[in-house]
Amino acid sequence: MLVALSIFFVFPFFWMFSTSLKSYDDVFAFPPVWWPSETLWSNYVDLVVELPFIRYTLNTLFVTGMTLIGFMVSSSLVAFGFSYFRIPGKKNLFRILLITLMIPPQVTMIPQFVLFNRLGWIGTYLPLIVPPFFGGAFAIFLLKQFFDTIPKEFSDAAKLDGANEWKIFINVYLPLSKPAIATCSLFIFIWTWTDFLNPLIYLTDDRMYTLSIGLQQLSSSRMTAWPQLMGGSIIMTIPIIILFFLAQKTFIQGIQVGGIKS
Amino acid sequence: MPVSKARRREIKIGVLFLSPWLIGLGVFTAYPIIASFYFSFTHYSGLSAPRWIGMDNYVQLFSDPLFGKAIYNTIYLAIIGIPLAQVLSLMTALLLNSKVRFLSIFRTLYFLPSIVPAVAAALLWRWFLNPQFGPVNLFLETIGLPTPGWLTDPAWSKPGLILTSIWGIGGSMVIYLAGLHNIPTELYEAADLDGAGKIAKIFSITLPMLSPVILFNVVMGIINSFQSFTSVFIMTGGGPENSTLVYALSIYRNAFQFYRMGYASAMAWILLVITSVAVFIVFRFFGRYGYFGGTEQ
Amino acid sequence: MKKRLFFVMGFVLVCVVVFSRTEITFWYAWGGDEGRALVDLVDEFNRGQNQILVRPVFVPIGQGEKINATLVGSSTPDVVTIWDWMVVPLGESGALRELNHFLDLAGITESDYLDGVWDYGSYRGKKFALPTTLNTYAFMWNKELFREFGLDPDHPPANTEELDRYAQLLFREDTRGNIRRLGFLPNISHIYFYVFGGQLWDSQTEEVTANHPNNIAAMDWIASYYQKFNLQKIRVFQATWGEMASSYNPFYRGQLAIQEAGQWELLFIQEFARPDFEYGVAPFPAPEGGREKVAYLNGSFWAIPTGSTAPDEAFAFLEWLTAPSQSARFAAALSNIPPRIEAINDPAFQNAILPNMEVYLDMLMDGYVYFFPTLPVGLFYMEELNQALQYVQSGAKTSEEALDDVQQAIQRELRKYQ
Repeated sequence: MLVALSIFFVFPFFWMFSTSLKSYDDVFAFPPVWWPSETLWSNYVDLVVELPFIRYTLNTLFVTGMTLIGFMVSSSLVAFGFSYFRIPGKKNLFRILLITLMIPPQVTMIPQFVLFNRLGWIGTYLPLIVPPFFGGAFAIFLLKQFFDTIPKEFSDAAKLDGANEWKIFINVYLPLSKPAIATCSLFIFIWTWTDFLNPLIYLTDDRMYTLSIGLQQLSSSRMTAWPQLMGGSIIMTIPIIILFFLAQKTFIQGIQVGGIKS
Repeated sequence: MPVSKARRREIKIGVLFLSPWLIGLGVFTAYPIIASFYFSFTHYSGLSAPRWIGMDNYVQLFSDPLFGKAIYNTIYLAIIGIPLAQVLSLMTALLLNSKVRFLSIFRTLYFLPSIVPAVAAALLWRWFLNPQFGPVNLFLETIGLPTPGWLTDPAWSKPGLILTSIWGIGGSMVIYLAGLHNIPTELYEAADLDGAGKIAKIFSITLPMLSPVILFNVVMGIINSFQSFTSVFIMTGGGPENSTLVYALSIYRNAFQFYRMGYASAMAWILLVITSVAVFIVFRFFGRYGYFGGTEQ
Repeated sequence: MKKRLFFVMGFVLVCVVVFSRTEITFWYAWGGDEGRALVDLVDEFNRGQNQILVRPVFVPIGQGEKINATLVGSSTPDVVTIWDWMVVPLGESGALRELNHFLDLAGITESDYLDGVWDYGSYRGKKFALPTTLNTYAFMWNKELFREFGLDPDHPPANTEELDRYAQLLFREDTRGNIRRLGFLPNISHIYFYVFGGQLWDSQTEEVTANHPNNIAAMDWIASYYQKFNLQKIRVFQATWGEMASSYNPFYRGQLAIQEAGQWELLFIQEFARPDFEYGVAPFPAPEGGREKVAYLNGSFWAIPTGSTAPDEAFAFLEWLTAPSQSARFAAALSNIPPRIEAINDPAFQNAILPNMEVYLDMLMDGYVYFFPTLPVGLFYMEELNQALQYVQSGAKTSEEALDDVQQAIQRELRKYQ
């Protein structure tokens, strides 16, 4: 049964891959061409030739890496703040956090741009990599919920041993939240890696562009270079798949160890 | 009652931990949000200076037939799509939490759709749901079921979108997997000693322990569903006959194609109100049902 | 010794100042081969003179998210590429420079351009942008199908009544009731508004005329196609159509016998259709009392943002880029039509002309040319018309009701801009 379901999930991905190897016309063939008779690996070569693919990849790695570090470090601190401490007005602050998630980005886009413009950051990577260091609502929310599941007994025990809040954070909460942290990091990575609009708006030098913008360059005004676009999309997903495999280790560990032991 | 030294200290340190976000809020987040609220009361093209018109945008919205359509479509997709997605992703997470061979491979496969760039996924599914030669209808035909028009039929376009979104449940599934890991095994062992069956264990242990995570997934599901834009933009453009005109698409059009940023801002803030009401209800529901191992909410 | 050093340094400094170039940024939106053709032109410009260095940057226009955001900021590019519906909103809000005095100085006037193009992208006499290249649409039919059904392959229907008859004749359904071929399906509705003698905008009174009686008549005619052949079946049929830019284009495959075709179709047919595919091109047939040779014009534009720090250099570059020879070459690369008459006559364009292009050119030079009104409300008018068409197709509103509603909606929006 698991196998049947996996076909449902994998099939479109397989289709992307086979499309990336087709000739342009084969993409639209009906009845559909499941696997091209002539696998054009040259489509992938086209990607590197047409675009400064390596540079775009490095740019994207830089932006994603910095963003990831920023979000994870700051958000875990803030999530701990929300979860562990009793602070007057905490409920309202948390509501504000959720509200920041609930506003559609289309209407905050322009004022946000104006803000960064006044700071003089347009044309640099700063609008993309600095705000993450001040926490991300999604990550804070996720991590707080996970921190909430950690039984109080653990931190009480650590307090008895003389640990202060910082030590509790580092030695109790963080280790117990490895799956949550791995998951959160994964999502942030995916979101930033494939983000198109934010790099587009804030970067002015096309040498600084990221992969998602670069892939747009493959199409002319009336034709989209489907095989190459699919190929580019697949290459973009490879790092994510690798990360996912690595992240899974934390889950597997859990299963073998059997969850939290008192 | 005087606040004790220890209490004051707790507050001080707590705020210290919260400070990165508080600073970020003041510096980066507050201005755009407040600005968009202000714009909702103006006539603003997004380019030149906004002109104050009071409640006109809001008044105009209530007589705009497309506004009602957008709300209806968005809520329809949310009410059907979110519970479906959550139940399915939780079930698959439970399935994948057991000891099965090649577990990590299955997990990766199920997660794959969530990482395919949104544009590629939308294009793929537009082909999949093609009424005459998309795989979905070909499959339905082989098992003898009727083949709806999916994205070409106003009555079936939303179900088509829901089907597409189910393909992406790998995301919340992974979060459930992480949550399941955190449940102490002793609880299960104790239940086994009491002779509890599988179903009983799920309802008495798993779900309550998972409730903060379920809460998270449902709330994020609501927020994401209300703001969902890219797949509709690519797959249907709001049609046919506005049957898939979702709220975010309408906001986008008003903001960038019609140069009615003020109107779009009004729409955004109404969405905010609706979302908070929905989220508030969800919190109430799970707050009572749930168990929180750590400190209180 | 010191004195000589001083002189050498002074000399170097003078050289640097004299020979340094003003750098301007040029945002272009074409990818693929088209983008390359443009970058080649830019290189040629840079090599050909020493005062200005143009830096081309690829910026996908989309719906203007980046354009709008950047133009309210302080560091803008010097030349931008934008869609036609963006010109007036951006211009009227002060984001783009008026080009009138630049054009006067350069001696470029209305007569340099095809009829009607000078007003395209202007609002109340102010020119905020220059057209890059133009598209126009004509009536294209499948000669082989005509022959098969006893219709003269070399003569298109003479008027809309004949077109209706042809469409009915060429229609084919299979035994399960699925459509297999449509004779004709009107797609760009406002073309028919003009063909029937109506209009979207009265440039004399500067008023919207969405509910012009001839528009309503045209809308009724369009709706009749969706009623005759069944709206839902048409939608399902359309979902079976292959990609336009491929050999599966429904027109090449005989799924659609007659279509509205932009001039770039000539190139697509050459690239994707069978070598022996026979087709004909002509202006749209009109009803009695309607307009013959209606040519709908659209295209993209180049503009100079107000925030540009080098507007004179920017215009100098634009002047070169839109000069006949360059315009001809760029248009040929896109299989579009250059907006200036001299460019059309330039050998670079003439030599690239494909068979049947004369029909399009004739429509532009000799026919009734119109463009979708460029207004401060952007795409709103077009979207309202789409909505109206959908209401009429499904029978929810009559043509008159639908277009009256459009009229009111646009008028109300425009009043906000007064």
